[in-house]
Amino acid sequence: PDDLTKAESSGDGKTYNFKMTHVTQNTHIWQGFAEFLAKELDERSDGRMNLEIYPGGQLGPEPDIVQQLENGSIDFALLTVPYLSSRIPELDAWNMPFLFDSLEDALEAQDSDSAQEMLDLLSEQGLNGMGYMHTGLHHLVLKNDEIQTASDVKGKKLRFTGGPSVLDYWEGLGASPIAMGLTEVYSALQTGVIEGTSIDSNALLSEKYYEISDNYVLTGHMAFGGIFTSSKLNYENIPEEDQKIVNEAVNAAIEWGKVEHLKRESENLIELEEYLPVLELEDKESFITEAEKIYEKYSSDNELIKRFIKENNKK
Amino acid sequence: MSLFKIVSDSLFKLEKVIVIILLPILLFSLFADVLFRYALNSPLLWAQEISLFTFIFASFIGASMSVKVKEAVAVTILVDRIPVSLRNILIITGLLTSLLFTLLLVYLSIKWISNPTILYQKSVTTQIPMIIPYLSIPIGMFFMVIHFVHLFMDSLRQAKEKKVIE
Amino acid sequence: MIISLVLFLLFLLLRIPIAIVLGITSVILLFFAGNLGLIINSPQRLFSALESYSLLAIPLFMLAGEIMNAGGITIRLVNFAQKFVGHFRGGLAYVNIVANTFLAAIIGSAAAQIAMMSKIMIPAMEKEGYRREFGAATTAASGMLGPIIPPSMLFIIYGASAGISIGDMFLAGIIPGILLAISFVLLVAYIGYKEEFKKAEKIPWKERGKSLIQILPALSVPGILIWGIVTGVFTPTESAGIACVIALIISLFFYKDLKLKELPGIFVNTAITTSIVTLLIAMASLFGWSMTFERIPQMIAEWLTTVTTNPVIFLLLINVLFILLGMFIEGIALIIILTPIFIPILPVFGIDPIHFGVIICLNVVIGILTPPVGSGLFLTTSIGKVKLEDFIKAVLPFVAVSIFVLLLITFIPELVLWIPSLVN
Ligand code: NA
Ligand code: NA
Repeated sequence: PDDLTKAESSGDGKTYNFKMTHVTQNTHIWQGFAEFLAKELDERSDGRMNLEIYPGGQLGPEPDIVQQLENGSIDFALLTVPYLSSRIPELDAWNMPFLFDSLEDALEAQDSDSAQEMLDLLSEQGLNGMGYMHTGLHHLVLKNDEIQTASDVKGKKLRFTGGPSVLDYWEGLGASPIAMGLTEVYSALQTGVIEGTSIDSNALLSEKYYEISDNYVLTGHMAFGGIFTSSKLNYENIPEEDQKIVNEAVNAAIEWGKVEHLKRESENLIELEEYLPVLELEDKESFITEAEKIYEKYSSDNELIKRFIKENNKK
Repeated sequence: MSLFKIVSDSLFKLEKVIVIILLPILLFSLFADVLFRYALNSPLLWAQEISLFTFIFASFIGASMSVKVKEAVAVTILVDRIPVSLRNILIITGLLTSLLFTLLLVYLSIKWISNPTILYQKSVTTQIPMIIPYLSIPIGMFFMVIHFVHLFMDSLRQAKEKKVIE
Repeated sequence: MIISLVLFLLFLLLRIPIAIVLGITSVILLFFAGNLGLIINSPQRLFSALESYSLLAIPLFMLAGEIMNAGGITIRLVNFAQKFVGHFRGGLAYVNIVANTFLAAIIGSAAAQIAMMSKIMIPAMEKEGYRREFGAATTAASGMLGPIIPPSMLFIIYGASAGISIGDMFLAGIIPGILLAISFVLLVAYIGYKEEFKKAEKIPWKERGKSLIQILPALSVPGILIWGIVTGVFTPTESAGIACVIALIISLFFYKDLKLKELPGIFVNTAITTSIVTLLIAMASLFGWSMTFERIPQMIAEWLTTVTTNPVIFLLLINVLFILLGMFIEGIALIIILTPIFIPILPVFGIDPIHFGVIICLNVVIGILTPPVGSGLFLTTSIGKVKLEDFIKAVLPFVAVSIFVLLLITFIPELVLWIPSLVN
């Protein structure tokens, strides 16, 4: 009997068929992450851990995914921070405008203490936050005039994704922020219902908005965050030895994500330059001055947001 | 008049009032959204979520109404060409099945919205607690259960009187 | 899988509403697959299925239809068409097609259009001596024009899930839509010749002119919609709401056929007809989801790519697949489930996603008329009070003709891609 317990606790021979989902398309960096993770799990477990991937929101949008993680129907998912922040207000910290100077800064912020503490908050909702995997740094793609200073956004109809802090900020600058489903954006941009949208370089290429826009201003105004999450229920049922394998595979995939993000961002910008002018933001200061007000407002009623901003605001 | 009929009929009146209120709200918020964005250049951030949630609410209430007025689409190919007694049995079985399924949905959706994490969820733009639009499902399905109970009891009565169930 | 298919058919025969049958079957499928957790997710799934801004177009197109019916706009469109084409053999059948073609330029949903026209055209055609089921079949088939001639809800949903321009999709639908209308006209001409339909009297040009003037306010609806969408005043989805407002204004102030006290009744009707479709969408999404979880569509798609490398054969197989699936699953659900699966493999075959989109949209539009499950089938038979089996017999020639058009655009991509290429 001693041998038996040993075999169980070490998880020897147990096989797994994990299910993972995310809402982005096949070409997205998240799918790359999922495929890399599948490979890592397979190799590190000597073929005992198989990962089945359901991309493109095949199992439903994010509210559904969270519920499926909660009751263990699926094992893993990549979830967006803007959605999660509608359930966990602390995560709104990631949506703060102009907090990061560059993509490198945003990737570095993943490892800050406050960011790691935020992951623990997911456990209250039956989720096990295992690490960050952003979708990219958001810039502005625009029709007609470029934006160079804060006053340029006055009266512009721009689409943003994200929570109240995002809308708060841009409304404060005098823009007309519009919340619009992704499906409507192309034709809305084409016909001029909106004059621009907040978007990272990956999505700009895959959604082809460059066909109908006039310039891409590298504002880097927001890191569109993502969290790799496992089902708490299922994760706790994995023997410790195997949990270790899962953790190591996930960490490897997250490190892969950091490198891949930087590589893709520079490649994407080079590719985009073939299609439309890619411009640096001249007067970033004017935007940051306004952003400080938002930091203050959202810090005042949340200790963790306050710490996150303090730790990661390098300005 | 049976109690079931009275309850189902008055519920139908209530449902009518609800959709007569909801649909104009839907149309108005959508139209106002266009007007404010295009003519006044100041978009209404709440309009999209309000019209979406109104639509979902109206859909589930309307679904219950479609059962009441027997307009929900069904296949009659078999029941129309078999002897009355068998027809009645099949229809009653069908009604009972539908009743049980909608009851299951009521049970599942009550379980769903009574999960404590539901209160963490807010809509992304307007921060409306999601439980408000989510309520459309238990309410709509509960209304549907009531109509099915009435149809079921009514069919039982007709079958007893050896009438053809409409 | 087999068990749930058998149960599906069994429940259908018990006269259970189709939406409920789809729900029951999904739950049973999940139960047998051992996915109790997913059964618990069902209510959230039903909610998410409807939480899509594009779907708002459904109640609004339905409402526009109700207002146009009550406000005398639809009947004026019919009268107008009758004055021009009513004197041919089978005149009212042409009227039906022509009026539907106009309507298709206003309405974006086949269900909405079929619901509107069934109320008016089926009794009208029966009064003129046509078989009721022929009237119903003509109406339902012409309703297929709704989502093919822009604006179109289906194209919006496809463009959204494929990540391609909705504007291009709209343009791509114009020629296939016209081809479809022409082929229906030819079919009616043939049936009319064979069954010796009667002719009506020719209307003098003066009267025709009068009816043209009368119809101008009504024709302003598509005019305003096209202008608004093209100039960016509103989005294609919002155009459904604008259509309601314009229809209200015309009905209340120009034609004055609509009384304010009729509005509550219109809202009730709209809610009910909308919900028949939206409950189907919600339950079909539950159904598609339970199949996706078992990887059934993925397996079919993966298998398809191993069968052939020839784009034409691939597209023909797609047509077969969609016609078969379309018999059981509602169009919007099919588009939502399968688009993301096929889009990534299109470059392998060198197929334009716009061409592919129009093909699968026409497929699922045909699916609304193929038994046993189809919203067009059910709407026409319930509103028109026609027996399902009689209707199916009458509608089959129309389905056959549509499949012919489908093959035409499958073999000749230019029919789809030419107009979008002019604009870009
Ligand atoms: Na149309
Ligand atoms: Na069908």
